[in-house]
Amino acid sequence: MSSSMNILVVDDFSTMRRIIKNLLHDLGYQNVSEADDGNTALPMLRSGKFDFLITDWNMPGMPGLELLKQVRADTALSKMPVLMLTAEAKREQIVEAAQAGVSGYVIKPFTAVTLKEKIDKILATQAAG
Amino acid sequence: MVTLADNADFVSRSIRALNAASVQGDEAVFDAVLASLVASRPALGADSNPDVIADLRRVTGDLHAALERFRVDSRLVTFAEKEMPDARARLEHVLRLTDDAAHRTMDLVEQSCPLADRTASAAATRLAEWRERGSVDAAAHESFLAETQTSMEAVREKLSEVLLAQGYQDLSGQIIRGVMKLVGELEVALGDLVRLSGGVELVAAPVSTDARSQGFGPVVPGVSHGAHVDGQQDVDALLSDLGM
Repeated sequence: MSSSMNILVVDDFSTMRRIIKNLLHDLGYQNVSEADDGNTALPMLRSGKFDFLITDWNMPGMPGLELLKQVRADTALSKMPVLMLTAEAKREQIVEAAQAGVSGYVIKPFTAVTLKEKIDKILATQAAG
Repeated sequence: MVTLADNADFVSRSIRALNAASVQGDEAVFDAVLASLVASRPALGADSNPDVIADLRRVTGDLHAALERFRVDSRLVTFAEKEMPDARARLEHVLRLTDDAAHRTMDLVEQSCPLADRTASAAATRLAEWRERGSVDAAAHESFLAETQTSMEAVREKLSEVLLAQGYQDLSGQIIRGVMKLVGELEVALGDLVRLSGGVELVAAPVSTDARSQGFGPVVPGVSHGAHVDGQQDVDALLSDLGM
């Protein structure tokens, strides 16, 4: 499933979406879609097409933390792996994201290796669970 | 003998001097001119009424403060009506410049990667053949070298364009400096306003939960407060402490 899984990348900056998409392609993930905030992302997720969510935190409209909470509160989506990829660096925020049920947290600026590591770890945990 | 015309001239000169000192906020000159005006009162033949002098001082002082406040206010009006919208437009332009440059750079990288991939994989094939047979097919080798030359020339050209695309830093830097200067001027004007309004009690506004869930943006050295993580290792350690 891993290389064919459908990934949704949510970030308000098109450059960052493009960077993430390119890195995911390099990692062998070809099915990557984009959304620019939580409001756009939620209906896409609810279509049932996606297996993995990568989201920024700070976005106009619906921020990533709210998107995470909505995903966890939706019975159809509640088990979806959510990787937060963000510049938000306050310790209290990371704790808040963990409490809201985030699956992984990557801080910007990030490397391709870190992104791969975290995705692999989440998939391994998911397979074990 | 002091004539009436001399008196009128002296009084009007004094008032002009008072006005100038008031506008410049030069209290020492103001007091000196006022004192000379008071001292000349017997010569001017005015009625001796200390209240008039005190009133004059107070009214002039009020006028002075009002003028200063008006100057600050009109500066703020210019900021609010003209310079702030301009600054926003300039920053939007910076956003566009950086966005264009990032996309242009990524276009060029995406065009270069397949050329590099193709060359590397063709070289690997040649190398495997060489190692296997101990010789290379001359025609295949020639076409490989020709393709490599074309690809690498194209990559070289694209790298030069990547370099040029970094010019956005200069342009956006200049615009940002201009906006920083404006923000500095605004800071001074607002500071003056606070001073003129006799100082107001400052109460730190609490960070709303909304603002927190919206996010703070990247850490800015020397500006961001509160405990924050320093890199991915810190994040991993924190999450591990939380049992993740």
